[in-house]
Amino acid sequence: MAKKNKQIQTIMLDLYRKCVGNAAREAMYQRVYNEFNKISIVETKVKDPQAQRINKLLHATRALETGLETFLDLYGLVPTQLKYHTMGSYMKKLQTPPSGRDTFSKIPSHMFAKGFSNDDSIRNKRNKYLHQADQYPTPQETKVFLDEIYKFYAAVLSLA
Amino acid sequence: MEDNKKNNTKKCVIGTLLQCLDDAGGIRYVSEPQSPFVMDNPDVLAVADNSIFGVFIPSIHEKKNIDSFLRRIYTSRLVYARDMKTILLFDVESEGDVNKNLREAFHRVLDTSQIKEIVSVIDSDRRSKDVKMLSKRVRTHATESYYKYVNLGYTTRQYRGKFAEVHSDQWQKLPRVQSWADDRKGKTVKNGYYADGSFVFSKPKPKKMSVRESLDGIMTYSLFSQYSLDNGQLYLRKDEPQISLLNTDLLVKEEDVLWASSLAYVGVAPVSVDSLQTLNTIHEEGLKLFGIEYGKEK
Repeated sequence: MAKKNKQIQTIMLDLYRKCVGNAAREAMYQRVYNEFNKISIVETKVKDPQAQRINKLLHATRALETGLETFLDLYGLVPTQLKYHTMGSYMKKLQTPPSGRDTFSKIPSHMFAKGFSNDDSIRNKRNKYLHQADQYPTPQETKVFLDEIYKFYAAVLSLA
Repeated sequence: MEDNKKNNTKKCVIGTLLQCLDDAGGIRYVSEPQSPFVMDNPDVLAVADNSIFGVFIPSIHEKKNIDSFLRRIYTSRLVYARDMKTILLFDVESEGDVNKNLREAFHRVLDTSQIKEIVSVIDSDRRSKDVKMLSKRVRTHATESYYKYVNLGYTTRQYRGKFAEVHSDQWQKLPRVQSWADDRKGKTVKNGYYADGSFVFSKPKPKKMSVRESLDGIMTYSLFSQYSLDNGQLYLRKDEPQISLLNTDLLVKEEDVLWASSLAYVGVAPVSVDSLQTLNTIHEEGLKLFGIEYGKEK
Protein backbone atom coordinates (compact mmCIF):
# COMPACT_ATOMS: atom_id res chain seq x y z
CA MET A 1 0.00 0.00 0.00
CA ALA A 2 2.98 2.29 0.68
CA LYS A 3 3.88 2.38 -3.00
CA LYS A 4 0.30 3.30 -3.91
CA ASN A 5 0.32 6.08 -1.32
CA LYS A 6 3.50 7.40 -2.90
CA GLN A 7 1.80 7.31 -6.30
CA ILE A 8 -1.16 9.24 -4.91
CA GLN A 9 1.14 11.82 -3.29
CA THR A 10 2.98 12.24 -6.59
CA ILE A 11 -0.19 12.66 -8.66
CA MET A 12 -1.70 15.01 -6.08
CA LEU A 13 1.35 17.27 -6.05
CA ASP A 14 0.74 18.02 -9.74
CA LEU A 15 -2.95 18.70 -9.10
CA TYR A 16 -2.11 20.91 -6.12
CA ARG A 17 0.14 23.24 -8.09
CA LYS A 18 -2.53 23.57 -10.79
CA CYS A 19 -5.05 24.67 -8.14
CA VAL A 20 -2.96 26.73 -5.73
CA GLY A 21 -3.85 30.42 -5.61
CA ASN A 22 -7.56 29.90 -6.30
CA ALA A 23 -9.56 29.23 -3.14
CA ALA A 24 -12.41 27.35 -4.85
CA ARG A 25 -10.00 25.10 -6.75
CA GLU A 26 -7.84 24.53 -3.69
CA ALA A 27 -11.00 23.26 -1.96
CA MET A 28 -11.66 20.92 -4.90
CA TYR A 29 -8.06 19.68 -4.72
CA GLN A 30 -8.51 18.98 -1.00
CA ARG A 31 -11.66 16.96 -1.68
CA VAL A 32 -9.90 14.84 -4.30
CA TYR A 33 -6.86 14.37 -2.05
CA ASN A 34 -8.99 13.33 0.94
CA GLU A 35 -10.99 10.92 -1.19
CA PHE A 36 -7.90 9.18 -2.60
CA ASN A 37 -6.46 8.89 0.91
CA LYS A 38 -9.60 7.15 2.16
CA ILE A 39 -8.64 4.15 0.00
CA SER A 40 -5.96 3.17 2.51
CA ILE A 41 -8.06 4.08 5.55
CA VAL A 42 -10.70 1.53 4.44
CA GLU A 43 -8.27 -1.29 5.28
CA THR A 44 -8.38 -0.49 8.97
CA LYS A 45 -11.96 0.71 9.24
CA VAL A 46 -13.87 -1.93 7.26
CA LYS A 47 -13.58 -5.55 8.34
CA ASP A 48 -15.65 -7.44 5.75
CA PRO A 49 -13.36 -8.20 2.76
CA GLN A 50 -16.05 -7.68 0.13
CA ALA A 51 -17.18 -4.41 1.70
CA GLN A 52 -13.54 -3.36 2.01
CA ARG A 53 -12.93 -3.86 -1.72
CA ILE A 54 -16.13 -2.17 -2.83
CA ASN A 55 -15.37 0.77 -0.52
CA LYS A 56 -11.89 1.16 -2.04
CA LEU A 57 -13.41 1.34 -5.51
CA LEU A 58 -16.07 3.75 -4.30
CA HIS A 59 -13.47 6.19 -2.94
CA ALA A 60 -11.20 5.81 -5.97
CA THR A 61 -13.95 6.44 -8.52
CA ARG A 62 -15.34 9.37 -6.51
CA ALA A 63 -11.82 10.84 -6.40
CA LEU A 64 -11.43 10.30 -10.15
CA GLU A 65 -14.77 11.90 -10.97
CA THR A 66 -14.12 15.03 -8.88
CA GLY A 67 -10.51 15.00 -10.10
CA LEU A 68 -11.71 15.13 -13.70
CA GLU A 69 -14.13 17.91 -12.83
CA THR A 70 -11.27 19.89 -11.23
CA PHE A 71 -9.12 19.43 -14.33
CA LEU A 72 -11.92 20.62 -16.62
CA ASP A 73 -12.58 23.57 -14.31
CA LEU A 74 -9.04 24.82 -15.06
CA TYR A 75 -10.24 25.38 -18.63
CA GLY A 76 -13.79 26.50 -17.86
CA LEU A 77 -15.18 23.28 -19.30
CA VAL A 78 -17.35 21.94 -16.47
CA PRO A 79 -20.83 21.44 -17.97
CA THR A 80 -23.42 23.83 -16.59
CA GLN A 81 -26.27 21.30 -16.49
CA LEU A 82 -26.13 18.95 -13.52
CA LYS A 83 -27.20 15.97 -15.64
CA TYR A 84 -23.82 16.18 -17.37
CA HIS A 85 -21.89 16.07 -14.09
CA THR A 86 -20.89 12.46 -14.69
CA MET A 87 -17.62 10.61 -15.16
CA GLY A 88 -18.54 9.74 -18.75
CA SER A 89 -19.39 13.35 -19.67
CA TYR A 90 -16.12 14.56 -18.18
CA MET A 91 -14.14 11.98 -20.16
CA LYS A 92 -15.91 13.00 -23.37
CA LYS A 93 -14.99 16.63 -22.71
CA LEU A 94 -11.33 15.58 -22.88
CA GLN A 95 -11.85 14.80 -26.56
CA THR A 96 -12.53 18.41 -27.46
CA PRO A 97 -9.96 20.74 -25.90
CA PRO A 98 -10.64 24.44 -26.45
CA SER A 99 -8.55 26.20 -29.05
CA GLY A 100 -5.84 28.65 -28.05
CA ARG A 101 -2.42 28.55 -26.48
CA ASP A 102 -3.28 27.64 -22.91
CA THR A 103 -5.14 24.48 -23.68
CA PHE A 104 -4.60 20.75 -23.18
CA SER A 105 -3.86 17.94 -25.60
CA LYS A 106 -6.80 15.91 -26.89
CA ILE A 107 -7.05 12.60 -25.03
CA PRO A 108 -5.34 9.87 -27.12
CA SER A 109 -7.87 7.48 -28.64
CA HIS A 110 -6.58 4.29 -26.98
CA MET A 111 -6.58 6.07 -23.62
CA PHE A 112 -10.15 7.26 -24.16
CA ALA A 113 -11.12 3.69 -25.02
CA LYS A 114 -9.64 2.46 -21.72
CA GLY A 115 -11.48 5.17 -19.79
CA PHE A 116 -14.79 5.27 -21.60
CA SER A 117 -15.66 2.92 -24.43
CA ASN A 118 -13.97 -0.47 -24.05
CA ASP A 119 -15.99 -3.28 -22.49
CA ASP A 120 -13.51 -3.25 -19.61
CA SER A 121 -13.26 0.54 -19.47
CA ILE A 122 -13.05 2.36 -16.14
CA ARG A 123 -16.55 3.73 -16.69
CA ASN A 124 -18.05 0.31 -17.40
CA LYS A 125 -16.28 -1.34 -14.48
CA ARG A 126 -17.48 1.42 -12.17
CA ASN A 127 -21.03 0.89 -13.40
CA LYS A 128 -20.75 -2.86 -12.90
CA TYR A 129 -19.41 -2.82 -9.34
CA LEU A 130 -21.00 0.31 -7.94
CA HIS A 131 -24.34 0.38 -9.72
CA GLN A 132 -25.23 -3.33 -9.74
CA ALA A 133 -26.52 -5.31 -6.76
CA ASP A 134 -24.38 -8.18 -5.48
CA GLN A 135 -21.41 -7.45 -7.75
CA TYR A 136 -18.06 -7.57 -5.98
CA PRO A 137 -14.57 -7.42 -7.44
CA THR A 138 -11.99 -10.04 -6.50
CA PRO A 139 -8.85 -8.86 -4.68
CA GLN A 140 -6.92 -9.02 -7.97
CA GLU A 141 -9.64 -7.12 -9.88
CA THR A 142 -9.59 -4.46 -7.16
CA LYS A 143 -5.80 -4.00 -7.47
CA VAL A 144 -5.97 -3.79 -11.26
CA PHE A 145 -8.89 -1.34 -11.18
CA LEU A 146 -7.19 0.96 -8.67
CA ASP A 147 -4.01 0.90 -10.77
CA GLU A 148 -6.03 1.80 -13.88
CA ILE A 149 -7.64 4.74 -12.05
CA TYR A 150 -4.30 6.13 -10.80
CA LYS A 151 -2.81 5.81 -14.28
CA PHE A 152 -5.78 7.37 -16.00
CA TYR A 153 -5.84 10.39 -13.71
CA ALA A 154 -2.06 10.89 -13.90
CA ALA A 155 -2.34 10.74 -17.70
CA VAL A 156 -5.20 13.28 -17.70
CA LEU A 157 -3.14 15.73 -15.64
CA SER A 158 -0.24 15.31 -18.04
CA LEU A 159 -2.45 16.36 -20.97
CA ALA A 160 -2.13 19.93 -19.64
CA MET B 1 33.07 -0.62 -0.02
CA GLU B 2 33.86 2.32 -2.29
CA ASP B 3 30.42 1.95 -3.93
CA ASN B 4 28.72 2.00 -0.50
CA LYS B 5 30.54 5.21 0.28
CA LYS B 6 29.31 6.79 -2.97
CA ASN B 7 25.77 5.51 -2.37
CA ASN B 8 25.82 7.15 1.02
CA THR B 9 26.89 10.33 -0.71
CA LYS B 10 23.74 10.34 -2.88
CA LYS B 11 21.64 9.64 0.21
CA CYS B 12 23.42 12.48 2.00
CA VAL B 13 22.78 14.84 -0.92
CA ILE B 14 19.07 13.97 -0.89
CA GLY B 15 18.98 14.38 2.90
CA THR B 16 20.55 17.84 2.69
CA LEU B 17 18.27 18.78 -0.18
CA LEU B 18 15.13 17.85 1.77
CA GLN B 19 16.41 19.76 4.80
CA CYS B 20 16.90 22.85 2.61
CA LEU B 21 13.35 22.52 1.21
CA ASP B 22 11.91 22.06 4.72
CA ASP B 23 13.77 25.09 6.04
CA ALA B 24 12.66 27.29 3.15
CA GLY B 25 8.94 26.82 3.76
CA GLY B 26 6.36 27.35 1.03
CA ILE B 27 7.75 24.52 -1.07
CA ARG B 28 5.84 21.24 -1.19
CA TYR B 29 7.75 18.15 -2.26
CA VAL B 30 7.66 14.37 -2.64
CA SER B 31 10.93 12.54 -2.09
CA GLU B 32 11.36 9.52 -4.40
CA PRO B 33 8.13 10.28 -6.29
CA GLN B 34 6.45 7.36 -8.00
CA SER B 35 4.61 7.65 -11.27
CA PRO B 36 2.00 4.89 -11.74
CA PHE B 37 3.40 4.36 -15.26
CA VAL B 38 7.17 4.06 -15.01
CA MET B 39 10.02 3.08 -12.71
CA ASP B 40 12.11 6.02 -13.97
CA ASN B 41 11.38 9.04 -11.78
CA PRO B 42 13.11 12.18 -10.53
CA ASP B 43 14.73 11.86 -7.09
CA VAL B 44 12.66 14.72 -5.70
CA LEU B 45 9.56 16.42 -7.09
CA ALA B 46 8.96 19.92 -5.72
CA VAL B 47 6.24 22.51 -6.19
CA ALA B 48 6.50 26.25 -5.60
CA ASP B 49 3.42 28.30 -6.51
CA ASN B 50 2.24 26.88 -9.85
CA SER B 51 5.66 25.59 -10.91
CA ILE B 52 6.86 22.03 -10.65
CA PHE B 53 10.51 20.97 -10.43
CA GLY B 54 12.13 17.58 -10.92
CA VAL B 55 15.48 17.19 -9.18
CA PHE B 56 17.84 14.49 -10.46
CA ILE B 57 20.97 13.08 -8.85
CA PRO B 58 22.77 10.33 -10.78
CA SER B 59 23.31 6.94 -9.14
CA ILE B 60 26.68 5.19 -9.32
CA HIS B 61 25.43 3.14 -12.29
CA GLU B 62 24.11 6.25 -14.03
CA LYS B 63 27.40 8.10 -13.61
CA LYS B 64 29.09 5.29 -15.54
CA ASN B 65 26.20 4.87 -18.00
CA ILE B 66 25.06 8.33 -19.06
CA ASP B 67 22.60 6.78 -21.55
CA SER B 68 20.75 5.08 -18.67
CA PHE B 69 20.65 8.40 -16.81
CA LEU B 70 19.37 10.18 -19.93
CA ARG B 71 16.68 7.52 -20.24
CA ARG B 72 15.51 8.18 -16.66
CA ILE B 73 15.47 11.93 -17.25
CA TYR B 74 13.58 11.80 -20.55
CA THR B 75 11.16 9.09 -19.50
CA SER B 76 10.37 11.32 -16.50
CA ARG B 77 10.01 14.33 -18.76
CA LEU B 78 7.58 12.35 -20.92
CA VAL B 79 5.46 11.07 -18.08
CA TYR B 80 5.49 14.03 -15.68
CA ALA B 81 4.05 17.49 -16.24
CA ARG B 82 4.89 19.04 -19.59
CA ASP B 83 6.26 22.18 -17.94
CA MET B 84 8.32 20.41 -15.26
CA LYS B 85 11.59 22.28 -14.80
CA THR B 86 14.55 19.97 -14.33
CA ILE B 87 17.50 20.48 -12.00
CA LEU B 88 20.65 18.35 -12.03
CA LEU B 89 22.72 18.01 -8.89
CA PHE B 90 26.13 16.81 -9.99
CA ASP B 91 29.46 16.41 -8.26
CA VAL B 92 31.56 18.32 -10.78
CA GLU B 93 34.64 18.35 -8.55
CA SER B 94 35.01 14.56 -8.46
CA GLU B 95 33.17 13.62 -11.66
CA GLY B 96 34.45 16.26 -14.05
CA ASP B 97 32.47 18.23 -16.60
CA VAL B 98 28.86 17.39 -17.30
CA ASN B 99 28.25 15.63 -20.63
CA LYS B 100 26.92 18.11 -23.25
CA ASN B 101 23.70 16.21 -24.00
CA LEU B 102 23.13 15.72 -20.29
CA ARG B 103 23.49 19.43 -19.66
CA GLU B 104 20.94 20.17 -22.41
CA ALA B 105 18.39 17.90 -20.71
CA PHE B 106 18.25 20.27 -17.75
CA HIS B 107 17.02 23.75 -17.05
CA ARG B 108 19.56 24.16 -14.28
CA VAL B 109 22.78 22.36 -13.38
CA LEU B 110 24.12 22.78 -9.84
CA ASP B 111 27.26 21.40 -8.32
CA THR B 112 26.49 19.45 -5.14
CA SER B 113 28.58 21.97 -3.23
CA GLN B 114 25.95 24.56 -4.24
CA ILE B 115 23.06 22.48 -2.90
CA LYS B 116 21.98 25.17 -0.44
CA GLU B 117 21.35 27.49 -3.38
CA ILE B 118 18.61 25.21 -4.68
CA VAL B 119 15.93 27.15 -2.80
CA SER B 120 16.98 30.45 -4.39
CA VAL B 121 17.05 28.72 -7.82
CA ILE B 122 13.50 27.43 -7.29
CA ASP B 123 12.49 30.84 -6.01
CA SER B 124 13.84 32.67 -9.06
CA ASP B 125 12.55 30.06 -11.55
CA ARG B 126 9.08 29.61 -10.09
CA ARG B 127 7.63 32.43 -12.18
CA SER B 128 9.83 31.91 -15.20
CA LYS B 129 7.96 30.89 -18.33
CA ASP B 130 11.19 30.08 -20.12
CA VAL B 131 10.80 26.33 -20.11
CA LYS B 132 12.25 23.92 -22.66
CA MET B 133 9.11 21.82 -22.87
CA LEU B 134 8.80 18.57 -24.79
CA SER B 135 6.32 18.82 -27.63
CA LYS B 136 2.73 17.72 -26.99
CA ARG B 137 2.96 15.33 -29.93
CA VAL B 138 5.90 13.46 -28.44
CA ARG B 139 4.26 13.22 -25.03
CA THR B 140 0.91 12.08 -26.44
CA HIS B 141 2.76 9.43 -28.45
CA ALA B 142 4.23 7.96 -25.24
CA THR B 143 0.85 7.85 -23.48
CA GLU B 144 -0.81 6.36 -26.55
CA SER B 145 1.96 3.76 -26.81
CA TYR B 146 1.20 2.62 -23.27
CA TYR B 147 -2.55 2.40 -23.82
CA LYS B 148 -2.16 0.61 -27.14
CA TYR B 149 -0.22 -2.12 -25.38
CA VAL B 150 -2.78 -2.23 -22.58
CA ASN B 151 -5.48 -2.79 -25.16
CA LEU B 152 -3.29 -5.47 -26.73
CA GLY B 153 -3.30 -7.19 -23.32
CA TYR B 154 -0.45 -8.36 -21.15
CA THR B 155 0.20 -12.04 -20.74
CA THR B 156 3.23 -11.75 -18.52
CA ARG B 157 1.21 -11.25 -15.37
CA GLN B 158 -0.33 -14.65 -15.88
CA TYR B 159 3.05 -16.27 -16.59
CA ARG B 160 3.60 -19.42 -14.60
CA GLY B 161 5.39 -21.76 -17.00
CA LYS B 162 9.01 -22.33 -17.92
CA PHE B 163 10.70 -19.82 -20.19
CA ALA B 164 10.67 -20.95 -23.84
CA GLU B 165 13.36 -19.59 -26.13
CA VAL B 166 11.79 -18.98 -29.56
CA HIS B 167 13.60 -17.97 -32.69
CA SER B 168 13.11 -17.67 -36.44
CA ASP B 169 15.87 -17.91 -39.03
CA GLN B 170 14.17 -15.05 -40.87
CA TRP B 171 14.85 -12.60 -38.05
CA GLN B 172 17.72 -10.21 -38.63
CA LYS B 173 20.25 -8.57 -36.38
CA LEU B 174 18.87 -5.63 -34.42
CA PRO B 175 19.86 -2.28 -35.99
CA ARG B 176 22.14 -0.09 -33.88
CA VAL B 177 20.60 3.09 -32.49
CA GLN B 178 22.56 6.22 -31.78
CA SER B 179 23.75 6.74 -28.22
CA TRP B 180 22.32 9.90 -26.65
CA ALA B 181 25.40 10.44 -24.51
CA ASP B 182 27.88 10.16 -27.35
CA ASP B 183 26.76 10.94 -30.92
CA ARG B 184 29.64 8.85 -32.33
CA LYS B 185 28.53 5.66 -30.62
CA GLY B 186 25.78 3.16 -31.35
CA LYS B 187 23.80 0.87 -29.07
CA THR B 188 22.30 -2.55 -29.50
CA VAL B 189 20.88 -5.31 -27.30
CA LYS B 190 21.98 -8.89 -26.98
CA ASN B 191 19.16 -11.27 -27.93
CA GLY B 192 17.27 -8.61 -29.83
CA TYR B 193 16.07 -9.11 -33.41
CA TYR B 194 14.46 -7.23 -36.25
CA ALA B 195 11.50 -8.89 -37.94
CA ASP B 196 9.53 -7.13 -40.71
CA GLY B 197 9.59 -3.67 -39.15
CA SER B 198 9.16 -4.93 -35.60
CA PHE B 199 11.56 -5.79 -32.78
CA VAL B 200 11.67 -9.00 -30.80
CA PHE B 201 13.64 -9.26 -27.56
CA SER B 202 14.27 -12.35 -25.52
CA LYS B 203 15.18 -12.23 -21.83
CA PRO B 204 15.08 -15.28 -19.55
CA LYS B 205 15.27 -14.50 -15.85
CA PRO B 206 18.94 -14.38 -14.87
CA LYS B 207 20.02 -15.92 -11.56
CA LYS B 208 21.97 -13.04 -10.07
CA MET B 209 20.51 -9.85 -11.45
CA SER B 210 17.67 -7.56 -10.41
CA VAL B 211 14.78 -6.80 -12.76
CA ARG B 212 16.11 -3.24 -13.07
CA GLU B 213 19.54 -4.44 -14.17
CA SER B 214 18.07 -7.06 -16.49
CA LEU B 215 15.82 -4.61 -18.32
CA ASP B 216 18.17 -1.61 -18.36
CA GLY B 217 19.57 -2.23 -21.86
CA ILE B 218 16.17 -3.07 -23.44
CA MET B 219 14.47 -0.03 -21.87
CA THR B 220 17.21 2.32 -23.06
CA TYR B 221 17.39 0.81 -26.54
CA SER B 222 13.60 0.95 -26.94
CA LEU B 223 13.35 4.60 -25.92
CA PHE B 224 16.23 5.57 -28.21
CA SER B 225 14.75 3.62 -31.14
CA GLN B 226 11.52 5.61 -30.90
CA TYR B 227 12.86 9.09 -30.26
CA SER B 228 15.93 11.01 -31.32
CA LEU B 229 17.52 13.65 -29.10
CA ASP B 230 18.65 17.00 -30.43
CA ASN B 231 19.43 20.13 -28.41
CA GLY B 232 17.59 18.76 -25.40
CA GLN B 233 14.41 18.02 -27.39
CA LEU B 234 12.92 14.66 -28.31
CA TYR B 235 11.70 13.95 -31.83
CA LEU B 236 9.76 10.95 -33.07
CA ARG B 237 11.83 8.76 -35.36
CA LYS B 238 10.31 8.07 -38.74
CA ASP B 239 11.71 4.51 -38.70
CA GLU B 240 10.44 3.62 -35.23
CA PRO B 241 9.48 -0.06 -34.83
CA GLN B 242 5.88 -0.99 -35.64
CA ILE B 243 5.71 -3.07 -32.50
CA SER B 244 8.21 -4.47 -29.98
CA LEU B 245 7.70 -7.72 -28.11
CA LEU B 246 9.76 -8.97 -25.18
CA ASN B 247 9.53 -12.68 -24.45
CA THR B 248 10.43 -13.05 -20.77
CA ASP B 249 9.75 -14.83 -17.50
CA LEU B 250 11.17 -11.91 -15.52
CA LEU B 251 7.98 -10.22 -14.41
CA VAL B 252 6.26 -12.72 -12.14
CA LYS B 253 5.97 -10.89 -8.82
CA GLU B 254 3.23 -8.49 -7.84
CA GLU B 255 5.61 -5.50 -7.77
CA ASP B 256 6.90 -6.36 -11.26
CA VAL B 257 3.64 -5.06 -12.77
CA LEU B 258 5.18 -1.59 -12.75
CA TRP B 259 8.05 -2.88 -14.86
CA ALA B 260 5.56 -4.25 -17.39
CA SER B 261 3.97 -0.82 -17.44
CA SER B 262 7.37 0.89 -17.84
CA LEU B 263 8.16 -1.32 -20.82
CA ALA B 264 4.83 -0.49 -22.46
CA TYR B 265 5.50 3.22 -21.92
CA VAL B 266 8.72 2.99 -23.95
CA GLY B 267 6.97 0.89 -26.59
CA VAL B 268 7.62 -2.73 -25.59
CA ALA B 269 4.93 -5.34 -24.88
CA PRO B 270 6.15 -7.91 -22.36
CA VAL B 271 4.75 -11.33 -23.24
CA SER B 272 5.52 -14.91 -22.40
CA VAL B 273 5.08 -17.40 -25.19
CA ASP B 274 5.40 -21.14 -25.54
CA SER B 275 6.17 -21.17 -29.26
CA LEU B 276 7.05 -19.09 -32.30
CA GLN B 277 3.47 -19.55 -33.49
CA THR B 278 2.09 -17.88 -30.34
CA LEU B 279 4.53 -15.00 -30.73
CA ASN B 280 3.52 -14.54 -34.38
CA THR B 281 -0.17 -14.53 -33.38
CA ILE B 282 0.43 -11.80 -30.77
CA HIS B 283 2.43 -9.85 -33.36
CA GLU B 284 -0.40 -10.06 -35.89
CA GLU B 285 -2.99 -9.04 -33.28
CA GLY B 286 -0.81 -6.09 -32.31
CA LEU B 287 -0.41 -4.83 -35.87
CA LYS B 288 -4.17 -5.13 -36.40
CA LEU B 289 -4.95 -3.33 -33.14
CA PHE B 290 -2.47 -0.56 -33.86
CA GLY B 291 -4.31 0.12 -37.11
CA ILE B 292 -7.65 0.43 -35.35
CA GLU B 293 -8.92 3.91 -34.69
CA TYR B 294 -10.21 3.91 -31.11
CA GLY B 295 -12.40 6.44 -29.40
CA LYS B 296 -15.82 5.67 -30.85
CA GLU B 297 -18.60 5.46 -28.33
CA LYS B 298 -20.50 2.28 -27.82
